[in-house]
Amino acid sequence: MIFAVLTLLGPLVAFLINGLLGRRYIKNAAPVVAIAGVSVSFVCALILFYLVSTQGFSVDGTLYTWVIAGSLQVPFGILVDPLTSIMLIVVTTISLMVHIYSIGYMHGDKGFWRFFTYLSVFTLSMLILVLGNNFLMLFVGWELVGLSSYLLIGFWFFKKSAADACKKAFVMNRIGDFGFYIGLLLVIFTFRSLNYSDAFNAEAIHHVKETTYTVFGMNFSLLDLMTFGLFCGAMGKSAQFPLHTWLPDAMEGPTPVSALIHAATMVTAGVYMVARCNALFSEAHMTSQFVIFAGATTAFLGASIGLTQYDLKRILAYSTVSQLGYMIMATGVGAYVAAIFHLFTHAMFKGLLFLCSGSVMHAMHDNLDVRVMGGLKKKMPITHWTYLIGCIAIAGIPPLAGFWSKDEILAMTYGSGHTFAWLVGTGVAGMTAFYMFRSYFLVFQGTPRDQHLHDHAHESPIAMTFPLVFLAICSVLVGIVFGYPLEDGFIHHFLGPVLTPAHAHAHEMAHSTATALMALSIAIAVAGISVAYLFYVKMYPVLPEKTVKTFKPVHKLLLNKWYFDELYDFLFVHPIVMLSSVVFWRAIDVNVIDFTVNAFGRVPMWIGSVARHIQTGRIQTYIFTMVVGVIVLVAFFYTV
Amino acid sequence: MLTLAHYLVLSAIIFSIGIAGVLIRRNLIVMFMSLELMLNAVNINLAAFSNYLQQMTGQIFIVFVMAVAAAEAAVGLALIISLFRNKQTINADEINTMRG
Repeated sequence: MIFAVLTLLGPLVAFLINGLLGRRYIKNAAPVVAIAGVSVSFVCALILFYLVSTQGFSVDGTLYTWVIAGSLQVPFGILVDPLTSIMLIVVTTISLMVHIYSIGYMHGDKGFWRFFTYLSVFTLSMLILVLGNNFLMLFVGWELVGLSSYLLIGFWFFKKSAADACKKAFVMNRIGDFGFYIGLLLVIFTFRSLNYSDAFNAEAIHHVKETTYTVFGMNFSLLDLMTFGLFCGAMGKSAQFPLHTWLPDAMEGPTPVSALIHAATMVTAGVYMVARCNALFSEAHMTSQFVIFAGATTAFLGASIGLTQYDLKRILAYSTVSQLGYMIMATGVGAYVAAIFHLFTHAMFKGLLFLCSGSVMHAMHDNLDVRVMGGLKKKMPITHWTYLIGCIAIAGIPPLAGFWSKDEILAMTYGSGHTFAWLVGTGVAGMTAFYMFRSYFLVFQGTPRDQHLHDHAHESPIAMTFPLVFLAICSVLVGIVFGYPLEDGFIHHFLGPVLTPAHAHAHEMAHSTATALMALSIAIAVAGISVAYLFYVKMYPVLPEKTVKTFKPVHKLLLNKWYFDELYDFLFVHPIVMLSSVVFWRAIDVNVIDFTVNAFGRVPMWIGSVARHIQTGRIQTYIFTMVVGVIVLVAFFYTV
Repeated sequence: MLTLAHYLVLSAIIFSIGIAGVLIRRNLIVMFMSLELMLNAVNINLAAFSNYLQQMTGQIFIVFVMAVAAAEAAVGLALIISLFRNKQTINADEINTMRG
């Protein structure tokens, strides 16, 4: 318990110190405070992980009762189990690396202290999210990470694009959170409690499953409605179709933020939530179908857009969208362990790739267009090698991290009988290998396409390269250390007890099938890489140009991200703007509200304009009035 | 033989002259003098009743009224002078800055 509390206290104290004293007193020493804070969390997370993995240690305790409303009691409680401890490792490791990286990356920025304050807030929020033992703490952490994401995307708020992007992220998340909120209300309504331990109770769930409601003429069980609501939140936070459009725009934030929040940790909160609620989701069959659909669609959309983008960070962003689709798809087919495993490995290699892109950006004077790069491998050896490792890891070449988790997701999807989803996933794996190596070849191989930029390129300082090397080592090792042998590795025994619902039917697969699938996914990855090599090294730029010409409409569609932004503008933004400006503003606001308010001013003015003529300013008029008044009064009282 | 009525009629006439002066004339000094006329008309009234009722109260009151009138004359003239210094006029019609 003490370690769990200390985990929270580290970033909290760092946030308070930097937030209150940063501007005046701490200034450029802010990273010292922030890193000290997150280091405390990191050490505690390691200790907790050690305790949980070796001694079966677990905590489900209450610090104090937070909300008492009638019979509903919500504690400020902490839950440490294998799932939490894995998440703690992910969050604190990436957070620590990003903190160190930011010393180099944000050096000289005016908001240096502010940046580290926000990072501490984010780390704290994410830890609250994973450490809570009830839905309310999950929700609070959920909203707090949303807030810190908003603050950090808009960190350079003087740039219009950044200010727009942070608003977009916030609004898109609100849409999902509305569903999440309804899900929470349904949880309270059915279980009369928000504690995980009360909600994940087989008997209660069975009862809830039997209760059905008719919505839009279709019968849904209460459980389906509840989980669908919760999943809406996950769709917003984890950028699932159709709420995925905010994530690529979020790349307007500083690159360490993209690595920490929009690749490794926050966006995986949705996956964590679904995995945490596996007892609910695995029973909700309709929602599960939708989850698989959303995950597979997102994986495909993200990967297809990633094929054509020219902005290095956007390629990575769409890759993140696509990988999140994988994780969500895995939760949909019941492969919760595989989903969390992929979350874990993805955090390592995607965090690494983003930090590499930041390093490249630094060398290229904030230029992100891959078309002007090229031949950087000599100039930036460390970034080059670490980026290559990241690419191999995400492409799924054994024995690097991505292979183990991605292959397991695909195998589980196949095994659960969702052949179409498996087909999509396999195709996406090939696309992933292609676009990641496309970016690698364009940036690091070949000849420099902008000699001037190339001449000024240089390797980044040690504060930035250390995290790269560290995460590269993790990307190489975590897969094989945790996930070998397939479906029987450390992580499966570790997470199995919490993430495998009791009744789940194991999909026993023939050994030959598993081997065939594994060989197939390696073959697909190698094919993707070879095609990328052919396109962007051997035959560059002839072949890509020819392909673009041949498939012009498709290329345009993908380059414009399937026109989702335009579609949403047309369907939602434009009508709302029109409705607001014509009906709400010109009609109701001006004619009703403003009119009423102005009437309060106009009526006294109108009375005054009449009454003012009585006051002539001439003393004799007053005296005359007075005399007449006296005469009238005397006459009146005399006659009475 | 002068009766109470004679005094009261005289007083009323003087008072009316005073009111008419205040209402009709435009010169502040004249208005001021008309005001004094009205006060003195009241004094005549008081004296008449004092004599008629054989009580001293009325006459004592006259002394008060005269004291107040003297003070009022001093203050009033000072105001008129200061007004004249600022406005270069003592015509009541032209002093209308309080017009609504």
